[in-house]
Amino acid sequence: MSSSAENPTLTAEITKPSTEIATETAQSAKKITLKTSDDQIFEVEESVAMEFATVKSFFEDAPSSTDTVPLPNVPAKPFSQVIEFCKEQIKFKANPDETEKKRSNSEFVKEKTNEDLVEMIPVANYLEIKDLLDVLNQAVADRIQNRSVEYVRSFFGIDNDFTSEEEALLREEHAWAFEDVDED
Amino acid sequence: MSANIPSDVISDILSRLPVKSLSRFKSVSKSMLAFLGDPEFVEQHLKKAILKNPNLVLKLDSKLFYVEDEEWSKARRLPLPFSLCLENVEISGSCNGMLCISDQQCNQDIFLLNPSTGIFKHLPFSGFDVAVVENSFTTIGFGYHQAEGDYKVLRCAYIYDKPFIDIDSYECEARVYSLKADEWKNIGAIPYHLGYKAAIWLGNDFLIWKATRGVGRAGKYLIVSYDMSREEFKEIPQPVVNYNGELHMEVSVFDGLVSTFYLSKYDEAHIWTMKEYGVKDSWELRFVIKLPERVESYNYMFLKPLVILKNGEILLEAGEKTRILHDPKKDSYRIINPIRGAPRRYLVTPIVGSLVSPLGYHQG
Repeated sequence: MSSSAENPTLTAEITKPSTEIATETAQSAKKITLKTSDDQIFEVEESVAMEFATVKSFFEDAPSSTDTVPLPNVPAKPFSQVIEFCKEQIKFKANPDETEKKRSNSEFVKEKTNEDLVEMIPVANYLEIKDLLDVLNQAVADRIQNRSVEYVRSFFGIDNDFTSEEEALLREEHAWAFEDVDED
Repeated sequence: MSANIPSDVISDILSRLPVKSLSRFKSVSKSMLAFLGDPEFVEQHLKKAILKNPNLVLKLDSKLFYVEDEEWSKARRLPLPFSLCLENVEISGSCNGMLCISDQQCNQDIFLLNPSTGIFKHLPFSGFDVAVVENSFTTIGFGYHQAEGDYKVLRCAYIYDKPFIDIDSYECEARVYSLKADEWKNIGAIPYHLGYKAAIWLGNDFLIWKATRGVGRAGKYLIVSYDMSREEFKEIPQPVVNYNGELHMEVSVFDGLVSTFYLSKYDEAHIWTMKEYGVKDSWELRFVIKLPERVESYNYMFLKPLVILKNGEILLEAGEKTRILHDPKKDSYRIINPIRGAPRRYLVTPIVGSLVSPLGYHQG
């Protein structure tokens, strides 16, 4: 017996897994076609699309489907930002690094406008992307925490239905909560 | 409520905010006001608030101050509209964002106050069958009884009608108050002599005290628990330690576990925690905290651990004047700067910032 490469059985054992890896790579490159509510077509890698729990369960029900997946509640603009987030997330699945992930997440939300966040939330919610929804909700909480009542109304699109007397009374009762509020 | 965001998402966002923000946002709209008072939301908010670093209640004489910002930089004086009823204002417990306040003398008038919202309740009078007179000793316990989803206050009285040598035979009586039922119930005598004026709530269905049995050389310290479900008192086994009598032992809760602190004057604190409730072998020495020399030591008596923070730092009280944040991993110490608006001397009680109301609680 000299080198192990001369052993035919062992060689076979070594090559077998490498074929499997090749197949996997081929599979992960597979694209899924998704159509947004404003009729935009997105082709995303399967691994990214599987981050959307809603889409994932669509394929669990119909594994061999090659149809375009309709996303009736998802407009294109926030959807492209959601895809951007999920692409980043996948990197951390292969290489878990909590500190780097936190940094990347905060970088992601930092450059988004309030409007971006508010538009992405229903999309993340509909597609059931838990990590993203958590990041977005925390970002919104951080943005409104020290803000005024008016800021919050416009942030969420809530109409003030108090009479001026009612509102004045509430403000008086909670006067301490109106100290140190950031300027709008 | 919102035109563009689903209401369960709004609820999740709001549950991440401190009470101060939420108190302000009550003025946003009628639906927001109703939503923020919903018991389900109060519960959801509490669960998240418990995981954050606590707020601080500072006490100087009969004045209370509240520190509710994340940086612990600013204190505001807490209005206590009921303080005239009390001889002293003493904190007799802190649980889920509510304080139990009494005079810790006769403890006749007891108040539950949420310092974050300012809402308080004067508990009904708890009569005793034994004659509570000036030379009686009363102690209070306040906690949340998970099994029944109820807040309980325990008031115990010992009648000092015999010489001190007979300390174990003092006549005593305990009554327990249910916030849900809004009434007191007599639960009879206590087989231990509870040593603290106030119990510590463990975060489960138990209250704990340091207690004593016997006096003088024969006397010994015990850890006694009150089980809110079984309504019974029980001794908790203590860790086996070889400290000499110079050390001061305190019973507390640390990192959510029954704990004992062994404190030596001007020097160090040893923190033991009981990993599994009631199991003697599960006691562990968790931290030995030695104060480095560069921290001036003349102005405190004992180095007393108060609370372990989310990042692993430990808040320590070094007498009434100095508060220290200690990081056991880095072995670093940082004196907390004077808090704006706070007096120089004060006692600290950590508290969760919650919306839990002593009034609205039993209305559902």
